[in-house]
Amino acid sequence: MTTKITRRTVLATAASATLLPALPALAAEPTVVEMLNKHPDDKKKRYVFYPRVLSVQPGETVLFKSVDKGHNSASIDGMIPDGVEEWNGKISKDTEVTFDKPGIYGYKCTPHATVGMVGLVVVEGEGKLDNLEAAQDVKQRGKSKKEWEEIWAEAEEAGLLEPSTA
Amino acid sequence: MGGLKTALKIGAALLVMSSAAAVARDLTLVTQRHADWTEVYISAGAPDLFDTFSVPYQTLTGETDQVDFGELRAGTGWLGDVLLEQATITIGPRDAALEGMSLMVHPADSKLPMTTPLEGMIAIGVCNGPPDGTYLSISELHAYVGYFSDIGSDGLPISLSFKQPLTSATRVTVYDHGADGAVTRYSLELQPGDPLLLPADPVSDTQLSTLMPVAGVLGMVGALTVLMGVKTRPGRT
Repeated sequence: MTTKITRRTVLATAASATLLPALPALAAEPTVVEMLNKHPDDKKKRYVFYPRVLSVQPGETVLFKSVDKGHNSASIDGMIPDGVEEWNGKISKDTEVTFDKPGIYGYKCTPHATVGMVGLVVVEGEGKLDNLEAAQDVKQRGKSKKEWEEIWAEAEEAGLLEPSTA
Repeated sequence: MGGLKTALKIGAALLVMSSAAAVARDLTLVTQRHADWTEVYISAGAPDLFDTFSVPYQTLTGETDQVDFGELRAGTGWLGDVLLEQATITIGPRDAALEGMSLMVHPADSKLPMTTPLEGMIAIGVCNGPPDGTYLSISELHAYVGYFSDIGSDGLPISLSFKQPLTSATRVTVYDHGADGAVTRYSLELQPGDPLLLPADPVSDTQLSTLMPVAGVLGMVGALTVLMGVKTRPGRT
């Protein structure tokens, strides 16, 4: 059996080879953040995103999964990079968000933000800390103040608030 | 002897009845004290909770007396703020801003327990309410509201003064959770015009019930000693 190599085959192969490095990111399963009434490891913690701090690469998608009903994921005003579109998921529905621009992304559960149901996504890449100060300056309400203090400390400890080396 | 016993029983019953009649409403209050922050949860029958702060319950129900549970999904921290706008709060010597976390109502015939901060947090979570599309009359509901302050209250008194005096006598059952994990349960009876004062070192009802007879006995011993002293003094000189 012989295979005739045409110009079209060569071009298609070349195009595939060019796209291949991007494929894993495109085809990868989204990273899941669960929306829960109760923290799986600490029963005293209620109304949580799990995990609440996440680091992703540009182009990655995060699935905010409605495991327990009554929650949503919505970006917090002033806590996402300039020029990025806000998101506001429906309550009790899964929400997918694709993060293209490096930066700091703070989000909340709309009905439970004041009881501390908030989370952070850090998108790696050049300029990821450009909006850090602005995000940290956003006035928080209720129990989310304490939660954000813990989140910033957790992100710091994990090295997520260091400039990207890539 | 039998007559005395009966008289004592009747006296005790009258005392209980008069005390019950004097208190028109009951509130439960849970605190979580910490060096750097404070949580406060309050629960009561829904109309009573609004009335305590002199806020019309229509703030929650709109023109009707029905609560639309679907409406609560958007977050109800603001309702807590509306209530506390009618009070002045201090923690120790400082004016304290308590921010409403959430206010939630549950059917009064299936009230949620609220004796710990965790139970308070569960009770105010809007996701734990009846499903959307449920409408219930405010009179059938029990309300729970939670507050947070980034001012620490460990070892400090907390004071809440109502801008409009209470319209009726109110019993407040307090579960005070200290920063060290100790829990003190005690009751306060507030009359119209009284502020709600949570002492830095509260005495629990149990301690009080133990201390009262001891104090009574000590008082009687003291009185007898004084009387005997008065009687015997002339003999000594």
